[in-house]
Amino acid sequence: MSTEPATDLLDREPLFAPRFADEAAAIAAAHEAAALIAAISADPAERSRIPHEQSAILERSGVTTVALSPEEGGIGASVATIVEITRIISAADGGVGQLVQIHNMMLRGILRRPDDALRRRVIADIAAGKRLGHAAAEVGGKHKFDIRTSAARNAQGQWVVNGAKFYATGSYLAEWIPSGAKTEDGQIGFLVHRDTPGLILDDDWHSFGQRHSVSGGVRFENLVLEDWQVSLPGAGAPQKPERTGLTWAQINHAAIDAGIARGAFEAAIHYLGNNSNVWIDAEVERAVQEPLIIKRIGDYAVALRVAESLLRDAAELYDAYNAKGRPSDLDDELILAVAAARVKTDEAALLISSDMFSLLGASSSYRKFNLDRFWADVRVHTTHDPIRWRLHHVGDYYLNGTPPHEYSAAAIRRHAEA
Amino acid sequence: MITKPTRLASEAEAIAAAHAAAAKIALLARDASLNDRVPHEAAEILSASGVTSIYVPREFGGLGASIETVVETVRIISTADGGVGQILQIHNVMIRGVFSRPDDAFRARLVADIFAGKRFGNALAEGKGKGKGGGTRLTLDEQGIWRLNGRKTFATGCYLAEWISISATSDHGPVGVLLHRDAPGLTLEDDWHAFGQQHSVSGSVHFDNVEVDPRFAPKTQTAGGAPDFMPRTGLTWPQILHAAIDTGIARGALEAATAYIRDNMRAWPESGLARAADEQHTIKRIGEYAVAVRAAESALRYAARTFDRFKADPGNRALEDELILATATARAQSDEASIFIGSDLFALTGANSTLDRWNLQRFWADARVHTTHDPIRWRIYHIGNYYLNGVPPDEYGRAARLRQQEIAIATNAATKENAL
Repeated sequence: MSTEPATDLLDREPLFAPRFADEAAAIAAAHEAAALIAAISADPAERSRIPHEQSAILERSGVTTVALSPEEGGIGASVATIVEITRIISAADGGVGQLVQIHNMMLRGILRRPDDALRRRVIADIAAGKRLGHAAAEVGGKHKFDIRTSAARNAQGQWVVNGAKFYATGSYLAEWIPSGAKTEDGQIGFLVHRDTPGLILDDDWHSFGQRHSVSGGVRFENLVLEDWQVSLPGAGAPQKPERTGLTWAQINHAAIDAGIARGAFEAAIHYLGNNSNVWIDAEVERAVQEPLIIKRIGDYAVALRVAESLLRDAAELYDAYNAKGRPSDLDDELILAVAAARVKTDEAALLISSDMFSLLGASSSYRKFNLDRFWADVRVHTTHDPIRWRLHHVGDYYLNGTPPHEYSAAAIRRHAEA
Repeated sequence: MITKPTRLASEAEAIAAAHAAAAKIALLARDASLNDRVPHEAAEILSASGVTSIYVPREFGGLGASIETVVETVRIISTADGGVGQILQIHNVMIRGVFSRPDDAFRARLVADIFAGKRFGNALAEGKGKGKGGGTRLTLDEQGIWRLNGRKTFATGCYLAEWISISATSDHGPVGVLLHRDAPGLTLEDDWHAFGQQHSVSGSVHFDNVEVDPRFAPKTQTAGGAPDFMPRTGLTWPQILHAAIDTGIARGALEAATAYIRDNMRAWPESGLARAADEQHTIKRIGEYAVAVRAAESALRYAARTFDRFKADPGNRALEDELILATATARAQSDEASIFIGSDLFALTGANSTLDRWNLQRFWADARVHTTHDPIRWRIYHIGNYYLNGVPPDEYGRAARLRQQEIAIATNAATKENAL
């Protein structure tokens, strides 16, 4: 078995992508990309389409390269900057924001790999603006982590994978897709290029929101893996999950909802200023002068600022945590901070995106304005994992002193029992 | 073709008929492929059930159902489909005028049509905001024929209605006109493209030189008397039925959520449970939904009973205040419950429940679109102004209507002076 890649995939020339001078330049690029994406995503006809164009804008902007080190073509961006980029893109389009979120989530695993040819190849692609997807969850099992996709060695000793994943966010538009399968010797993880024979990316994400997150199915039909693609070869126990193993994903999920909340807020204000009729009982000239509307916009702004503030705090804490080498005595505080950000971003985004129609009036419900996309996106996105369980952990910490967990707690418990 | 409607003999029969119709309509409403289609079949079920004629008074040979029963039928239909519920709502609002019409063959035909299951729609609002008036105008042509021209929007129910009730302006002030759907020059558009309440068919209606029967001519000095003044509770009837729609949607959302959690959901891994429905957090949240629905239903029932009492005692000013306050309360609570449950349920039912095939977003979409009819903040404002400052509560647009009436009176006076 070869330990180095045998395919020409690894010999392709990387494309050009911008390299930023600093984090401020990356954030400016995110704002530019968001403005372009927002112009497309405001069109109701785009809603059910694959966001090829938005994806290309992301690719050209370079904002998905920032986590790479300067030597690799990135800027070694802080958590605060990556979270801010996800938030900014999500203000334009929550689905496209989730493409950034899942990419950065999966990139962490690549960055922690040893320096081998696969890592170099994938990182070259990412430096060129390409993205990672993911294919982990399945449907039909007892729960989210009940995996049926399986792999077995063929006569040549290669892993052959069969099965189906769903909620495979970003994969339809990604260059590389990390996934996993069970084997007789436990679970393996693998990374597969989108053009690999036996890999089928389905355009079947038919949900009422977050359409642009392309979170549909990925199928493996006798997908043959080379050993260089398999990151956890069969034998031995799976690695013990970290207690903060999902914090990175979680904080970027919060960034998506914070962004959607901001997008809804700005759309509401724009509509009130440009399209709303003044209500018949309000003795004012323009809708924006009505005290009841002004006060309600104040409620939205406070909810939004609280969400953004918690997100910023959690990101700064996360950077401090990383700088100290992820010490376990900071686990509690980091998990609580990120859970609080998720709760308040969920709340703000759902409040503003739904309640705004009570101010904007009946005409704003016309499809041509496409204003329900904010609610649809945040409502679908926030079902990712239940907020009530984030709150449960926060409450159990304050009430009973129980160390807070993420939703991987069940997996960690199973690991401890095994 | 409308099946010959059932003639309902009692209020209990009316409620039972509404439940039976709702069960059939619910089967259509859950089919996502029907969301954007005109609800021909649901409308036919509605009419065939007989519930569209229960408000016809006894002296016209009808059931003369109480407000409480009519409100309840709208609520029940709306648990199945808020849009179809609004077709019933607007019908009940618009047929009210039939029974105060002069006793003639025309009125007899309208009443017969109602018994035959035909429905009424409305064409009141115009493009540039409610109450602002505008395009739709009734004028006399050179031959002395009254002609209607203009365009209406938010014309709920019209696309599927037999009779269209229209407001228009004229040289003699505001007028009300009733037109048959087949009137030459009248065009009903299938252009209601909102993200919810698609089945309320609230699109536009055009009038291109439509000939109008002289019985709808403006009231001038020759026709005698001043224009009709809308009473203080002139909008209570549509308002309470609007509350019934949202109360129904809230109940529909609650039932859809509990059914999904029981039958289609995997337990969340952190709960360590086998059944999603056994999770305490979920159980408690469903309790909050149920309390919100029950509060809305209770407020609606109280308002309906107050309305029945007020009808028997229309001069009672304190009861009139109480009716407006009770109806505003029902609207506020039903708005809150329907939007809360319609949106929050996904926090319990999870990612799979967002797939299009479940069509569960329709409750939020319907409630969200329907509750934009008139701003709840102004209903609550009137309640607050009553409790804080003792100001008698109003419904919407009263100040504007008073201004309009002053103009109409002044115009009439000027016309009379000119005639003298």
